[in-house]
Amino acid sequence: MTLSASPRLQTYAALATVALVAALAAGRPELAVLAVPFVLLVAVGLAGAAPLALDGVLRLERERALEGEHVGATVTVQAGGAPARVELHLPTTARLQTDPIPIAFWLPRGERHEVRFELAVGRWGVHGAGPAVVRARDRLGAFALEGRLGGSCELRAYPSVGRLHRLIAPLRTRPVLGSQVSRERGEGIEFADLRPLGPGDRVRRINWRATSRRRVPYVNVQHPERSADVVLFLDTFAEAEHAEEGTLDAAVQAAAALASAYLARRDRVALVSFGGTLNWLTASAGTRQLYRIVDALIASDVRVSYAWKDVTHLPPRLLPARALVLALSPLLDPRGIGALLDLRARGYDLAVVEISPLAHTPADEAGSHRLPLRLWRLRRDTLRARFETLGVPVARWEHPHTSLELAIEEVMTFRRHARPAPQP
Amino acid sequence: MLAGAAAATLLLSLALAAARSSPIPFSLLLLGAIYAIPEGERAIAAPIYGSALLLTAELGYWSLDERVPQRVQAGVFTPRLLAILAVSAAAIPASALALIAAEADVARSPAITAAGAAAVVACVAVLAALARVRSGDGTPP
Repeated sequence: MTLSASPRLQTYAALATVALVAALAAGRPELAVLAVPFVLLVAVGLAGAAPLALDGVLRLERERALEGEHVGATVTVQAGGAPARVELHLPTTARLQTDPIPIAFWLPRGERHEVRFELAVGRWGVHGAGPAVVRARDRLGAFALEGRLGGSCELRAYPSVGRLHRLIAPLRTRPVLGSQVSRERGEGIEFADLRPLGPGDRVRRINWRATSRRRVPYVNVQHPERSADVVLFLDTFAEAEHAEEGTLDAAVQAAAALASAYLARRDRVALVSFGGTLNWLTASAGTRQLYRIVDALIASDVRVSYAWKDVTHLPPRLLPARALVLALSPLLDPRGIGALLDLRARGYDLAVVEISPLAHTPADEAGSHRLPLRLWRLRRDTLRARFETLGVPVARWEHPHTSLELAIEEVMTFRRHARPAPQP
Repeated sequence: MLAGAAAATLLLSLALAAARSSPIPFSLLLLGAIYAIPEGERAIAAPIYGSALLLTAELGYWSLDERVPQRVQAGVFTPRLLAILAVSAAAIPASALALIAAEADVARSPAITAAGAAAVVACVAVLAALARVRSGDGTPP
C-alpha cells in the first residue's frame, strides 16, 4: 500500500509561505492573518489524522463455473486505523468482467464492510480474479492510502459443451463391446452378409429364405457393435485471435463436444495438446475421463516455442494403432501440419477439422491486403489438396459462422468414398 | 478591485469547468491580494475573509475530487463536510489571535523579524515533509 498526501496540502503550504513572506516584506499583518486558516488545515491534516490502515479479503462463491455464467464474489474491507472514505475498484479483466465503476463508502474505525458483486465469465480457462484496488482517504481528504487488497482467487471456467448428433465413425474398432457398428463381421444387430452354414453356427442364424432358394443352408452375418479409440489432437502451436476470440476457443469447444459425444458412446478418448507445451491424456472411457479432458482443455494455451517438435515426442501408448485421430487445427504452424502428415504416413486413421483463421482476421477496409490474402488462401488450398491426396479429409469450420456438425458431415462425406489408411 | 474579483471568479470557474486544479491557487492568490493591497477600513474582517478563502478552496478541490464516476453509498460526504466546516470555523479565532498579536504595539526588532523568518522556514519545512510522504515510503507522517 502507498500513502500519499493530497497535492492541495502542498498548494496550501506554498500559499501560506508566499503570504507570510509578503507580510514580512511589506509589513502588512493582514496577509499573515489570511495565511493562518491554510496553515491550520495543513497542520490538522499532518498531525491530526491517525494513520490509515486497511485489510481485506476477496472470496468467490465457487471455484468452478461454466463459460457465460455469473459467479458471485465478496470483498470484505476492514479499517485497521483511522476512519476512512474507501473507494473500491472491483477486480475486472477482459475474461472476468464486472462493473468497472468504483464503489465509495465510509468505513468507521475498526469496522468492516462487505461489497458483493458478480463476475461474468466471458471465456473458458483458468482465470485469476483479483486483487481489488482500493483507495482510502482520511476525513479531510489530506492523505490517501492506495493499493491492492484481498489477494487473488482462481476460477476454473469450463467451456460450454455442445451436443453433436452425428460423429465421425472410426474405420477400425477395438474388440470390446460398444455402440459403434464395426466394419468387421461377427455377431451383432446390423445385417452384413450371407454365407454358407459352417461348423459351430447356431441354427437361429440360418436365413431360411436364402436357404430355401439355394437349397443349401445359409446363415446371416452381422456387423458387431464395438467401441473405438479416438485421439483428439489439438494443434496449439499457433492461433488466430481477434477481439478476444480465436481458433483455440473454437478448438477447445469442439474438443469438449467431441469428447463428450464419443465417451457417451462408450469409446475410449485420448487428448493430445500439441504445441509449445506438450500435454496429453491417455485413452480411457467413462465420465471421469470427460472431467479429466475438460480440466486439461481449460489449461490449454498457445505458448510461443521455437523448438521443432514431431510425433516422436509422444509416448507410443498414447496413439493406439487402431485409433481414429481427429485433429483440430488452424493449419497455421508447419510443425503442427508436419505432425499430422507424419501421423498419416504412419498409417493412422486421420481426419482434420480445420478451424478457419479467416473468420478471425480483421476486416480490410482499405483493400490493401487483398492480394496477399488471396495468395495465402491459395497456399491453404494447396495444403488441403495435399492432405486429401493422402486420403485425409480436411473439413473447414468457419467458427462461429457455421456449426461443427457441418464440418463433421463434410468429413463423413469424404470418408464414404475414401479407402482406409494402410496398416502400419 | 472589481476586475480582480472577476478574474479570480473566472479562474475558479475555469478550474471547475475544465476539471483542472492548477488555476485554483492563482484564484486564491488574487483574492488574497485584492483584500490585502488596498489601505484603510475593510467591510469583512481578515479572520473571516481568510476562513472564507479556505472554505472556497476546499469546496473547489472537493468538487474536483468527486469528478471520477463512482457509485457512492450513503453517509460518504458528511464526514468531510463536517471536517471542512470545523477547520474553517476553528480558523476564525486562530486568525483573530494572530491579528491581535500582529497589531500589538511591539517595536520592530531583529528578534521579531527573525521569528517571522523562522515561521516562513517552518512552512518550507512542512512542504519538504509533504514531499517526502508523497514520494511513497508508505509510512504516515
